[in-house]
Amino acid sequence: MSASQPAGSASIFQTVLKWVVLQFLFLFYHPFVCFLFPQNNSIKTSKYNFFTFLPLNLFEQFQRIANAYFLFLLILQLIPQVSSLSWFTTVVPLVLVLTVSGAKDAIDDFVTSLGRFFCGCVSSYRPGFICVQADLLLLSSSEPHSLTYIETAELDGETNLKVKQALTVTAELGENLQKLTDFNGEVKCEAPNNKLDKFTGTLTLHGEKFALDNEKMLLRGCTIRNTEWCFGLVIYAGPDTKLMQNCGKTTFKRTSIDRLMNVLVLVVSLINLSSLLQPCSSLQSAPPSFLTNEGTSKGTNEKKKNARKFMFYDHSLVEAVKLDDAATHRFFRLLSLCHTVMPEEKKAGNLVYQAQSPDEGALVTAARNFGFVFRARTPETITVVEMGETKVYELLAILDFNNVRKRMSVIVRSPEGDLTLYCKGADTIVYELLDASCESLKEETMEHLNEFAGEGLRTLVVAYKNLQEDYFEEWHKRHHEASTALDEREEKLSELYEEIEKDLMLLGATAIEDKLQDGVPQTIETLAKAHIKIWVLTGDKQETAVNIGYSCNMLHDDMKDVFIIEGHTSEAVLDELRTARKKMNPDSFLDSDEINIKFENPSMKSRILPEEQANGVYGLVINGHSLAYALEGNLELELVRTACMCKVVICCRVTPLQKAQVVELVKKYKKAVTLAIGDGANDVSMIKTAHIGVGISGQEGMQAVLSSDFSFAQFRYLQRLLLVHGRWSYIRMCKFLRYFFYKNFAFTLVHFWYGFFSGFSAQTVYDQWFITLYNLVYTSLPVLGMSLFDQDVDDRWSMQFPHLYEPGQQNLYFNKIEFVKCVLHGIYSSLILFFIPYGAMYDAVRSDGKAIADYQSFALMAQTCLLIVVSVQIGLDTAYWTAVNQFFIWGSLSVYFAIIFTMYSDGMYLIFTASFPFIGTARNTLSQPNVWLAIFLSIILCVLPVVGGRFLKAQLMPTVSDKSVSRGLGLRSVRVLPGLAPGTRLRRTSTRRSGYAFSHQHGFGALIMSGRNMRPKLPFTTTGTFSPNSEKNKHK
Amino acid sequence: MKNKNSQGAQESPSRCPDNSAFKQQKLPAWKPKLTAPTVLSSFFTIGVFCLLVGICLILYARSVKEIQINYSDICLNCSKLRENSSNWDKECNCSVYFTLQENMLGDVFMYYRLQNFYQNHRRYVLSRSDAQLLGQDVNIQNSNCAPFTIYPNGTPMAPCGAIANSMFNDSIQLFYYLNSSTAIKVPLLKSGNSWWSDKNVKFRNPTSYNLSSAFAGTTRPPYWQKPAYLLDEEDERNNGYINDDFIIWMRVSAFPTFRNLYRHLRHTNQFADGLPAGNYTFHITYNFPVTKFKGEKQVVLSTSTWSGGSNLFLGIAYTVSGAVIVLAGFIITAIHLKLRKKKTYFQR
Repeated sequence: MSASQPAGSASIFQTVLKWVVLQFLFLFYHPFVCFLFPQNNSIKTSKYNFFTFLPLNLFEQFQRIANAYFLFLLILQLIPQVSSLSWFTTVVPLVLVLTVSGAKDAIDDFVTSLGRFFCGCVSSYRPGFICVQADLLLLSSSEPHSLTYIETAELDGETNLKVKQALTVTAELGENLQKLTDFNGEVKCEAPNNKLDKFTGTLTLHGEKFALDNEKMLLRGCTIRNTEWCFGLVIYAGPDTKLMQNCGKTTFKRTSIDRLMNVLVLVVSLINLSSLLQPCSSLQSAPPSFLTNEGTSKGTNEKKKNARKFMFYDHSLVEAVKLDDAATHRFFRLLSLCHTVMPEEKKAGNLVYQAQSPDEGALVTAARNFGFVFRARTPETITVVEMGETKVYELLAILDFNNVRKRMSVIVRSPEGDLTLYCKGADTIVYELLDASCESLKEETMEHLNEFAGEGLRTLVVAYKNLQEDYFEEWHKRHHEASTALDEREEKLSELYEEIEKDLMLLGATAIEDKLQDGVPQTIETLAKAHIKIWVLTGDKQETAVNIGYSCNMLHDDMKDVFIIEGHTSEAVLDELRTARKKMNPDSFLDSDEINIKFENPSMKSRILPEEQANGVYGLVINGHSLAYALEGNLELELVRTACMCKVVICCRVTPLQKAQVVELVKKYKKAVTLAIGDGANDVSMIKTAHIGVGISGQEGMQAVLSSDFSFAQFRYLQRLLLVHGRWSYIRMCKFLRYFFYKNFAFTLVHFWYGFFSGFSAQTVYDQWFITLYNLVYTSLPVLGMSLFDQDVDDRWSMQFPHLYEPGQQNLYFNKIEFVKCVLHGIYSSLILFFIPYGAMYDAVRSDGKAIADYQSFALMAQTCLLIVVSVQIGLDTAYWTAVNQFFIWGSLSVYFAIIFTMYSDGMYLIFTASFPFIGTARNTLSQPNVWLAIFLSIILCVLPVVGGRFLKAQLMPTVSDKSVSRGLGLRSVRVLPGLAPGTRLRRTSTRRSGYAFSHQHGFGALIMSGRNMRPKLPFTTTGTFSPNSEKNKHK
Repeated sequence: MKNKNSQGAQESPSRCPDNSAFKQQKLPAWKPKLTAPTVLSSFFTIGVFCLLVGICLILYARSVKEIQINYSDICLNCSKLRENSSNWDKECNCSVYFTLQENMLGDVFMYYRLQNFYQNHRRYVLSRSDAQLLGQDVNIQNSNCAPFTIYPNGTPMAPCGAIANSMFNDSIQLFYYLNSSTAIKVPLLKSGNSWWSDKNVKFRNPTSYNLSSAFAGTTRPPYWQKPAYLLDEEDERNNGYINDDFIIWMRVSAFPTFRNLYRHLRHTNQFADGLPAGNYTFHITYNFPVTKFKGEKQVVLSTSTWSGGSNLFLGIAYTVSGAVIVLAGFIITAIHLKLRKKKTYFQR
């Protein structure tokens, strides 16, 4: 039992002690917690409290049929007429197992709930940021027009800034506390629900009704940025908040082996006549074959190159800037002017950019590093410090970004009076608009662009155009008209934009690398090799998600097709899914298809779908709103079938709950183990739903980590978790279970054979003490040692050969067939272990003529045979003999002999006459040569067939592991050891170009131009140089 | 890379697992592999060893002289008489004649052998009071002795329990015919047949000025003909609970067919070297009924050797196992060589 929880039982006492201390702390602090958070609004994040712990935990523990079975056994043993054994043979192990598991559960739950309690407010400890704790209706804020900036990373994983605006009527309240207290309105809103992007309600104030929507809501979990203060009205609190509605329930996770164990124990209890198995509880083990993945891109690291004249090395760019190269200056000026970034300077000298998309932020920061510092903006001006010289540009127009245009422009007037249009956008788009005069540069840039794209960088092309004063005047007038037009405003505006954005002069190109965490593409590639299916569930926009897909090497050009599901109705989604499936596998629509047959016949209970093969490699991208339809009743089957045929599935714009639903869907229809990995609070429900939840401890708080089963700091560690530790753990668990069943069958079935010779009177073969101690003392530590340390292949090999992971996915090492093998092996051993001692003792005498065939001698001989045989067997099963294993195995055997000689001694008998009737048996029996000859023969007959069988199996039907080991042995002799893959960047031969992955909202430009988001008092003071780079340059 | 690690360690030292071989699962280890040389050599060595041991054991077991006589068949009259328990007080004697073809040299042991007597039945095994047998004054009603604890009149049984009650109570004497008319009694020892630990530690008589007073207030078990303190009136050291016959009977057998040591030869006069060949007779006082449970009784005379008695099982088992193991060794070698050839063929 203990080996199943290696970590736990290694320090049982320590753990118990900790638990006691924690319980005490909990009791002590509980009143304070209750005081701070009144009961009705408090959120219950823990499973237990002090009073419900014992009943609830026992209930959960007895869900393990093994434990329930032993409880039943115990009750039976209390009836003397039924029992063949004393009650302590069952009570001692059962109580020990229950105590250890109970203590572990209590600590887990307590730590988790403590953590959750803190984590809700964890971000408020960071200076300057306030974490919202309830769903609020925004009333007023410090910013103009009562705007409030928020970050919703905890909610949907997006790190960019969002703007919320209060109603004008409430904005008037300002920070006047008197007015706020007198505020008397009535809010009618919908019932609490889990939709993060929708809210409908009305506010009745002074008899007037105002419509409320999501734009006025601050949801629990979001962080307020760039805002001094704001006031809100609590709409939903506690468990009613949208965040909590999106959180799944904490459930008791059990593994597939656990479930199999439940079935097996049922079987065992049916066939087990003498009822001597010991309690067993097993823990997390099964390796996942599905993987859902979130948040691979953490910040974008820019890497930009001017393709005009310069080489790709940054230092040549620096040189060019210093040499006052006009084109280079213009290039960086463009980057510092053409964007919608908001500067923020809370403390002097600490300039922070609030960018709507990370790409924009990266470009502006790059310009800053080259000496073109964007300092401040007003609706009419942009202040830039160019090489130490402050310049104020007049901002005349922002030609905003949208998904069709895939570009944005600004029109500015420089302090010198030049009128210029700066434009940046997707290369394919901007190239169409270029002036004919820059043909040669165009070609050169194209080469560079291809090179960038080949490296997987996201490219943008930047261009400019000098404008004529009179033309612009006229255009500006038309622009003003169009922007105030009542109908077809968008069309009119884009026409105008098209008109002015042409004959542009090419300036160069920028390339942005999605700085994924180290080793993400390699990890994904390796995991794919291990036949793990990867689904990406992200709150990001489709473009961003697809880009990340490409940069992670999940999507690539070798794919036959990438389907995009973005229908807005149920029918459209169904249609898109079917079209995709038809393309991938037309046969799946035939009536003869087994799944179609299966689902026409509702009597079939099993919903598990078999694997379907597509005729190539496909990818699938689903939008959040389409996913909402696809997850509804009749469509979910279509979704699963289509999605599972694709190699890669990317779901974008998904809500936390949808993430959990997708995981649930896979769990429901596929015979797969799911693993969810994520780093944000928005991944919590998914992590909880999946069989295995992994939290990445990142910048986004500890929520994900606390609800996870495993957590680490970087995505790439997943590879090691699964391929090395997951695999080892699985193999250890399977070896443990196989050995566990073997040793107990060998032990138990001897009684069955003895039944034929004892009138089926349930006389035990062994001493009661041996029965009590067999699983608890004599055989527990060796198998614990194996479960802690065993490695069939070392970590480098398991990383090198992801295929080694596959047997686990197919459950090859422990399944019903393996179980039957264990049983057969156990039966064989029990036959040997009974009949060899029987034959040796039958009618035999000792060398001094005294009789030897008495019950106690036979019991001692049989138990010694058994113990040595199972010890040799664990020795055979142990592939990795550390000092600890040696100590445990030899130690257990020595302890056995020490214990029997002690228990069968005169002194023990004279003190505890009734408990130790075996007095003298050890020294009388174990001194006989024929006893040892019989023991030796039993060992040989039990062990040699196993040795021969394993050797032949490795020769005739080598497993993946055998092959790699023998290959490894061969390679090792020539000293070619595989190193860990070095962190080289993957070269991609993608022809894919920039997706202009600005994920910012359309219309932000207009917001800037209106000036509504500007503070009246500008924090900016024109003081000297700013950029550290320009300083450095000067010193040079 | 290096830089990063050190930074991480600085930021959160507590979360960093120790870089110990134990925690990093990198303990040095011996990795035994089932390679062809180890497997094959172990098969052949063990096989040959088993063959040799087996042959040795067979030779020694066959050197043991043994004679076994089923007297429940021969003494049919007595067997029938004992079928009816109302005849319990009628004595029944029986003589069994046999001829020893060869001398039985060395130690000679006399056993009684019972067949189909389930001494290992669970409730029978439990039915004793070890404390009582240790001479302690205990209330046997709390023990497992029921129903053989007290008589209806309240007198407790000494010793109590089913095992003691069913004690083997035939008495067997051996006579040697010096010639066709004169027979002399073969000197047989009653004591020294049980384990030292049983005789000196596990069984003790209750203490009193003499044995009969020690057993005062108790009475014999219902099936016994005489009380415990009269089991051996000649030898104080072999009377009461520490009577060897009683001790041996109380050490219950593991199987329904078993032999218990009854007497062993005292080496005097004609019998200094053992039992000489010739005519003998067993004089048996037949008390123990066996036909009721379809059992049989034998009396056995046997010499002994280091490997025990005449039991051939271990010898045969070792020989057969050895042969099979060697054979398996050859088969595995053949398969291994064949596969290796195949492999080299493929490599070319």
